Amino acid sequence: METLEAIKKRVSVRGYLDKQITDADLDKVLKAGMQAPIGRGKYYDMHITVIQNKDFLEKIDNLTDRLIFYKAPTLIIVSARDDGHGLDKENSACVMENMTLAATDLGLGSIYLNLVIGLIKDNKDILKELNLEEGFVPVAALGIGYTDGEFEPKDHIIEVTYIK
Amino acid sequence: METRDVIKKRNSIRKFKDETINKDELSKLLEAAECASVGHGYYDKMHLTVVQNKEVFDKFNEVIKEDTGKENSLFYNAPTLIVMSTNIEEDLLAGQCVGTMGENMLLMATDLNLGCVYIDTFLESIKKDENALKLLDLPEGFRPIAAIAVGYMDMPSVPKNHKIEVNYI
Repeated sequence: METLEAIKKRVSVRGYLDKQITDADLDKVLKAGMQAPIGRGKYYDMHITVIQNKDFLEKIDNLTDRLIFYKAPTLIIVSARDDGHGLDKENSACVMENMTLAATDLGLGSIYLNLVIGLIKDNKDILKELNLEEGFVPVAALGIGYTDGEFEPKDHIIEVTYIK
Repeated sequence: METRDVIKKRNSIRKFKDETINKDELSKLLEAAECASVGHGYYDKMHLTVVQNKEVFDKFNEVIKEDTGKENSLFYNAPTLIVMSTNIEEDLLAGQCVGTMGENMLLMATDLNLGCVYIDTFLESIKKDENALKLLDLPEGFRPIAAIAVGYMDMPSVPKNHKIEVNYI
């Protein structure tokens, strides 16, 4: 798919089929994430956790009554180690945006998630099961899977000032 | 260009020709930014500033030099800067919303065969200088977080293969 088409087509998908994505597609999505720009080239300060275990996903789903990852069959957590420059958030977002665009390009549904991260950080058991290296903190999560609907992209407006 | 090729091709370009990108290229970059994933749909809490003014660039370079002692332009004398600002108070969300807008613009620029780089260090100096910050003419309550420097490449584009560690559960 052309880049601008994928960028425009990307939408937050909030319903998934009970069918796992292929390993080949997962690999493409992860590779796209790895090509994101990371401040000062510190790729070693980033970590990706892929969760596809049904029991573990259910445990996360049960953290609250609300749908926090819309029962996506794959949950990808992006974690980062802040080197003191506070770039962990922007770095993670670039990884996330690449992955959600790659998913869109592959015809998969995806959604950029924040709420689930807050809940995971507050739950010592689940955080421990992520088995993150010392200093790494989860920043954002991507829900990804097959979807049966066509989703209409929305038009968003961001205000622009020109200084010419 | 195919999305997957663009994602692989994107890399940081730090040397630009003097010529400014054209209107159509600029408008595609801004369109890409507007399509980014922004938490809670806070698109009205994001702001973009396109800077293409030599006097503003000169002032920025002067302020950066005073602040850091560095002679080199920290925005690589790019002929266009797109500054990303927000009034989202929570840093965790603010940084992420800026990051996705930035990445969309970088990918769009790569697709258009433009050179680009994600930058933020120079803003530290600008934020410290009230007069320099005023030149951005930001809406009340907004603060700049990062910027994209973009232009026609004056150095070869050499994509690199990066690795981020992954574990599977």
